[in-house]
Amino acid sequence: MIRIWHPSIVLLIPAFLCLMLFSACSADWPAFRHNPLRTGAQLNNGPLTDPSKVANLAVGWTFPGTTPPSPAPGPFRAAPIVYKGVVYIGNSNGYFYALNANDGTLKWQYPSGGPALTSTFTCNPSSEGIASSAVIAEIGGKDAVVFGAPDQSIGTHLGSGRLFALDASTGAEIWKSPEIAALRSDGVTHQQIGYSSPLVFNNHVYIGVADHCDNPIQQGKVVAVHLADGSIDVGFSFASTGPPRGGGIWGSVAGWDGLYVTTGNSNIGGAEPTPDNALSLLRLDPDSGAITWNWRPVPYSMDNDPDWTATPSVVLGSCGTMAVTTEKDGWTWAVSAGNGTPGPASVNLAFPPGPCSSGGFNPMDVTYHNDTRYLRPGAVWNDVYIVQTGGYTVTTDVYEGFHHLYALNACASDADRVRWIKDVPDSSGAEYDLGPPTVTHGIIFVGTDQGHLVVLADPSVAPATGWRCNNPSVPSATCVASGFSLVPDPVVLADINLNAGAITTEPAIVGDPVFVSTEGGKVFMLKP
Amino acid sequence: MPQRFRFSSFLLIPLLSLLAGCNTWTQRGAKGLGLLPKAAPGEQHFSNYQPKNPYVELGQGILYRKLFESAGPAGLNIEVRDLLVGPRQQTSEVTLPGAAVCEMRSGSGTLTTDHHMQDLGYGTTFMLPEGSTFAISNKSDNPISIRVHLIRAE
Repeated sequence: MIRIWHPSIVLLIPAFLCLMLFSACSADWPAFRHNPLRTGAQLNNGPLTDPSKVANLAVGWTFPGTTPPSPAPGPFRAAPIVYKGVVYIGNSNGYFYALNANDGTLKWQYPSGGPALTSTFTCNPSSEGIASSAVIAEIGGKDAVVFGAPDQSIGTHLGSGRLFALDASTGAEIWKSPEIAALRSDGVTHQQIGYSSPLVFNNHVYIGVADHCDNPIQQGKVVAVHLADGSIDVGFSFASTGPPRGGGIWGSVAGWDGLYVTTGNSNIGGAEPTPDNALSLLRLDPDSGAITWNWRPVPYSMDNDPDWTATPSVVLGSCGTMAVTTEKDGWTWAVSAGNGTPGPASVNLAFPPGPCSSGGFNPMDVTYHNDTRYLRPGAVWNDVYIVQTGGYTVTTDVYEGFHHLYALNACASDADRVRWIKDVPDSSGAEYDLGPPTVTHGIIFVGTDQGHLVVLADPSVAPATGWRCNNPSVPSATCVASGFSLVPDPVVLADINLNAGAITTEPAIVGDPVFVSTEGGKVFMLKP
Repeated sequence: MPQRFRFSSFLLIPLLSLLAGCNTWTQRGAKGLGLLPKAAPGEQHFSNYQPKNPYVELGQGILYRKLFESAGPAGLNIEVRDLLVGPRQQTSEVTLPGAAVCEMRSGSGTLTTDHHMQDLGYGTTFMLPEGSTFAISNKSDNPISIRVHLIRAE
């Protein structure tokens, strides 16, 4: 008799249902990167999938409007999510807002009274108020919105991190988790949730824990709480490293047939911790936190702080399922998801390619693995992975990749890896110059550090402006004769100056409108 | 309820949802997206993109760009260059304007100098005396990039 209840099927069913309910068939944008796979993709057709209509994008409303909430919002480091006509977003001032999606008016804010959700430790934008993008869940038959934030009412009252689940309609508390990221005055313990956005999956909420700007670096971990009541599941345990510390989880956990996570660095001098799963892309068992596989290309001896911070995306590709992401040093990797059986990682893709594709780096190869700030997750459109990455020039000029947004064919050969390259207009070309891209049917949305929302079209959707070399340092005219290939330079469909500070967060594509938050403390709704 | 029926109905919900209007979901993965058409031979319709510090031809199949130049001690001039040999390229014999200390930054291939051959890989270092000629063979699909420190009398 065929055994139907294979363990992998048991895991896939809730994952599939979760996707169906909250993302795949919804025109909403109910999570950071839209869905548990963190694809950053809106699958539904709508006006924003029509290039001719995208060209007419214009601001519909701005929050705050004429009657701003008190206190006024500061910079937005969290991205908006949108569900059933409501925009949910936390702010660096420590307040969480629910806005009516049709006009931008404030529906409710949390806390409605009492102190804001802030930390007494602030060192960079991740630690100011609420930087964690929210996620929609169903708890006890109610729509709930879940996010991570510091809270000075717990622990030693310094602003330890915890999860909040609120009634999506009213903002009433459903539960608050216990302390998840501990903050102490001992000069050592300063964990934070920061940018990590909760993953709702497997009847749990998973969240990553990193730290306040190292000094000293903390032990990274993933914490799982029960979705029903917010209590910590003590049966789940994942810490990146043993003593002394390291491997902070700055990005968000992705979920499909397992959990996928990236970890920060661990080399703070001295002996390597044991175990040391820092600087890794890992698949974890969603019930126990046990490691299924670990891909670590940069060894401890070459760890000059290339934290792996970009949230991984799960690509359900024509060549198999894989986890794809870019390390802070500018190298992009895809690893086969596998079947859940623990074992070595199988690398599908390395970009740029080379001898490091399977064996990882070693000190003799003179590659650099520093704090270079390729931080943004990519967007997935079928087999195409759209991301800011180092490219062929990463071995000679690691900073040159900041100028370029790449589309990579995840299932192609190395020779056909680059689908297109775009220098996004009205971006500085420096680190942090682009926010995370999002995509709907080949239309790509990305914010810039100069405050523009730029919309591009894959050349299969709208004709490119022309050809350029797949090595950005080689002039187009000498490209082919030099052994390189010409690739399309996509057309810009829209370039809108929102004039409200840098856009470091993802545009949330909701069929007709798109929602954008900015460093200038604004949320915009734009529609054709 | 029989276990098999429970299982079937559990799967039925998402399957019906797929049939009911989530057809885009089925387009993911299985069919892929396909590659874009390649540029036609002799394609000249280029975009207006211009590299900030473009490579220029040093010889057939080999490009270079200057990164840095400075006066050194004792009347010497020091220049830092990158050399680039594209995929599947056999370069002509070329000469650099000075003595060179070279470091492989990416790729693999073969260096030929005065009928002497040397394998090149990530991290390989080699020296080229002033006035020497060399050629590089790249038989892989990946480019070779070499950081060169040139030293010559001013």
